[in-house]
Amino acid sequence: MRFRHFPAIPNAQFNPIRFAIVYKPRKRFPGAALACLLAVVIGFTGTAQAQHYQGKRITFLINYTAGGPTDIEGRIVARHLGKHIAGNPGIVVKNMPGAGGIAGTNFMGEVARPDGLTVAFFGPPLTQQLLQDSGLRVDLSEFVWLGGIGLPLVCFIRKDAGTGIDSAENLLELDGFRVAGLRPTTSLDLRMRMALDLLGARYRYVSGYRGLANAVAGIMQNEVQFSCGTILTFRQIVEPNLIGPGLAVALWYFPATGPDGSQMRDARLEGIPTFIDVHERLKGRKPEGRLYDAFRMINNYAVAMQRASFVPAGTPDEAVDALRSAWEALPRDEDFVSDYIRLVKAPPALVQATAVRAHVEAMRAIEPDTAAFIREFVRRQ
Amino acid sequence: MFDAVLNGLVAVAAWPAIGYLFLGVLLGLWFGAVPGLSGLVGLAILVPFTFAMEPAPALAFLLGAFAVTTTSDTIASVLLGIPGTAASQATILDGYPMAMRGEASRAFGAAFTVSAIGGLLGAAVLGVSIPLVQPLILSFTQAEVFMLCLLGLAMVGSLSGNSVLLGLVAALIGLGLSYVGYSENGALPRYWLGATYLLEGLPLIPVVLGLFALPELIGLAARGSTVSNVPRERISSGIATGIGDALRNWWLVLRSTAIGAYVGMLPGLGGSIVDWVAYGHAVQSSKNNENFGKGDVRGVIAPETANNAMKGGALIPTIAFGIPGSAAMAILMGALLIQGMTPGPEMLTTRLDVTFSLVWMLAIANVAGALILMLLARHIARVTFIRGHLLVPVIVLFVFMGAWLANSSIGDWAVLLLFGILGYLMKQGGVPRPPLVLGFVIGPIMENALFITNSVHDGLDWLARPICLVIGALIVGSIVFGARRRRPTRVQATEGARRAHTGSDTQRGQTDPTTALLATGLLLAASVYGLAPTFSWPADVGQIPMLTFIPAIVFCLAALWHSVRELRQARAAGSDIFPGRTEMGEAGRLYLWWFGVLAATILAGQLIALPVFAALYLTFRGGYPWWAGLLYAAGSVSFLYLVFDRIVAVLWYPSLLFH
Repeated sequence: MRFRHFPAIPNAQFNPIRFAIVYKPRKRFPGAALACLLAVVIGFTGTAQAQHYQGKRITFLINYTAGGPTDIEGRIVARHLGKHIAGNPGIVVKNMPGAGGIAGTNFMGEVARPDGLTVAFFGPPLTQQLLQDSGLRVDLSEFVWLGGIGLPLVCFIRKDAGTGIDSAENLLELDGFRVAGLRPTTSLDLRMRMALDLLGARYRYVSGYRGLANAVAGIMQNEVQFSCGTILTFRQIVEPNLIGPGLAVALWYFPATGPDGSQMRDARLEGIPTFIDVHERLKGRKPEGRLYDAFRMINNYAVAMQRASFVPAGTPDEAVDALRSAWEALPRDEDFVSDYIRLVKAPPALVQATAVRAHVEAMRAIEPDTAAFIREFVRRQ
Repeated sequence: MFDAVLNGLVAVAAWPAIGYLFLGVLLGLWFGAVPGLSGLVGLAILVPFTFAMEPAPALAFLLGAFAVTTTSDTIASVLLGIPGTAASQATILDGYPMAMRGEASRAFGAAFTVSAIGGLLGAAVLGVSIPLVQPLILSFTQAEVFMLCLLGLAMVGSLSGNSVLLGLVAALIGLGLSYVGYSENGALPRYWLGATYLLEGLPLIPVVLGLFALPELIGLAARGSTVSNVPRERISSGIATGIGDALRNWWLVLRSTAIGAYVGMLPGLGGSIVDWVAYGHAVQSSKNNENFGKGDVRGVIAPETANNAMKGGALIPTIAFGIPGSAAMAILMGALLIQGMTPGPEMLTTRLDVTFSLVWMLAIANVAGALILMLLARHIARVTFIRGHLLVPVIVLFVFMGAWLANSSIGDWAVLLLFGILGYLMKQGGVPRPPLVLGFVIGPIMENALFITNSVHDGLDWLARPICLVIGALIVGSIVFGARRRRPTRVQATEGARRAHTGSDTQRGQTDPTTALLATGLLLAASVYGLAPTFSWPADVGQIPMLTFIPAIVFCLAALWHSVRELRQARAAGSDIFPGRTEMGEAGRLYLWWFGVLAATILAGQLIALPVFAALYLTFRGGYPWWAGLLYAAGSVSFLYLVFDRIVAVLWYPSLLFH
């Protein structure tokens, strides 16, 4: 997986019109002919893409309520994506919340027309698919994936929890601190509990908080002491209310890992240790075993595609190409990046279609034993 | 602090911020006035326009719109008995009966005056309370929230008219309905009937529109006459009377402001129940409360003051802690973040001037919105003198599209129509509907708070927390006080004057014993259905529904026995035991029309189905010439296209013919 960070690589895309004007033919025929052919093919594809969206309006569907983290990010993407789509279509944002993101997903699989005019920007319900949620009626791997945004998860704790804590080193000395979760089936809760179990921490799990903002309120009230949030909510809510005033301390973040177990550190979270580092320091070894395998699998797709964009299966190729090109152009769009930085206080980690697709496939190919293990873990709350 | 207040005012008064504020006010008035659009939809539509603006004009634009939706939502509540937004549900109870008496102008005069005062004083209360805000919010953990929910439920007595038994039944059923979908600890969906639509629970707006709007529509269509039962020339009261009412009840206005500002401050609770709490308080604290529900102007004043005063309160946890108390506040927080402002405690200290500029925006917008509506009130009130058949198609359009905006699913219409039937039976049978809505709104907050509190605390030690004790005392006081107030009413009740207390319910006086039997029978069946699966669920999922449905069954049985007795008495007395049969026939016919709209939508989409309904209804049911029907349909298409397609960008139903 590759994250593309700001500052962006300069646009190196081929421009057929510019090519036609400035290119001076040489005498070597095959090269010139090939170049012309290429120009015609690319030019034709560009025209087809432009024709597809000319004068059209795209509905950008978000599967969570207006005002939530997914919605805020989605609206920023929607604002900038349109200008990179050939044909410059208008984009309107619509929310279809419900059932932890499942309602919108079912809509995309069952109702939305595959015409490229309904584009999803979702917090994809991958964990629900993994847990075989009875409400989810569509297979996520059937969708045509366009790209995504990666958001690592940062965990934090009140400094006065138990006998007091100022770093992860004395976490294991604490007895019975309370952990704020959302729902037992969310990837956030699963990773949070799995990580604490891997460390052997003694904690009490309290689920039911409606969003991280409420969990932070619970921590401010000392009703609970520990929770985790994506970098977005960490920067927006946790840092100003908990870390800044010295009420809490960031313990670790969960990095994505490669097939060999290597960590993909996130430059945006410099100064905060990774969970693997903390585990190594506290337990003298890297995490391993079945619980860690399950954690790693969930964490990898959750970090890489906390948000992901897709269209229904059967969407015409010219629409998919136009949308993927636009998605690829986003990291180089300085207006988009500066808007995003203003919001998240960190540059976006955009993930392209191939990487997103690979995560969906990996999740689908999960061993039945591991899936059963995770389901059992949820039940054991 | 005084500097911060002044600097805040200067920031708002500067051009172009003040211009955008007024533009926002005009748009907000529109969003509040159209049922279903609400402040939430309005803000979601307006936010993208602010991305490129400077912070002060952007926030002025959004807060201008946000502030006044609860001022203009009074229009639909009073004129049509339909809540303009979720915050004006309680206004219906007395506002609509006033309109039926021809006193819509008076209701508007009172409502707009107190909206301005509430908004202004709410902002002032907020300014004065800023040093208290942090400790207040931080001391309200989930245990206190649970106790507050119980206090809200103690209002049931005030909202139940003369039958506390039926009020309790309705409140428990409301709680029960709120359990549909995923349980609060998430692992198991309840009562979802295999429909993904129900996994997230029943949506509030279609439920409320079904319960309140459809029964009124049936009444309007059956009568065929105007909303007002009194001819225009015989109306003596007007806007000035309403303003006088508002000023005369200054003490109630002040108390409702305090309720709005402080309850509004509590994240996740305030906005949803503040109008009910204020209404309940008005009933409980009034010496002569027998006119509540029959068009008492105090029933309009209390909720309309509180729902505007609440806006400032709701702003505080959003900007001070980044904890948005509602979806609309979440959107506003998103806008703040996009403008580069990070919510946090410094908004109450070093950046207090920014906070005060937001408070000023709310205050100015509230006054401006009320003044604009005051100028228009006399003209708006004329709607109550338009013939009913001319109003029915346009109300159907608003109600159906308002419900559709909940999830853009045909399930929204199914919920609307089903709750329309329930609402109609409850209305005719004298079962009060407000407690059901109160239970439905409070249910998920209460269950969630109880679940977290039980997970956090061992045993019931949380009950000894100081604020819990204070709220507990208020609950006991509220029940005792309510019971003492009720005593004379009980005597009346034994005299056979049991009357419903739900807005227009009371207009008919005696309820229909057969429909009462049907309604209680239906609620009993729902309770039994609700209880049955709870025995096989894990304790943390099934316990609360079980504790709800067991008393619901007991109370339903008692109410059923009471209904049977009334039926026998009526038969023995030789009076008609089913006086509502004629109107029920009309209700059946209207429902056939609506099923037609549903079928036509599935076939050809709303853009065709709703205008065709308008044309056919007007021609065949209203008796108007065919060209009038066509003109009406053309107007409906234009409205649907311009407002819902172009502005709201609604996701239309993917019809069989035009998908």
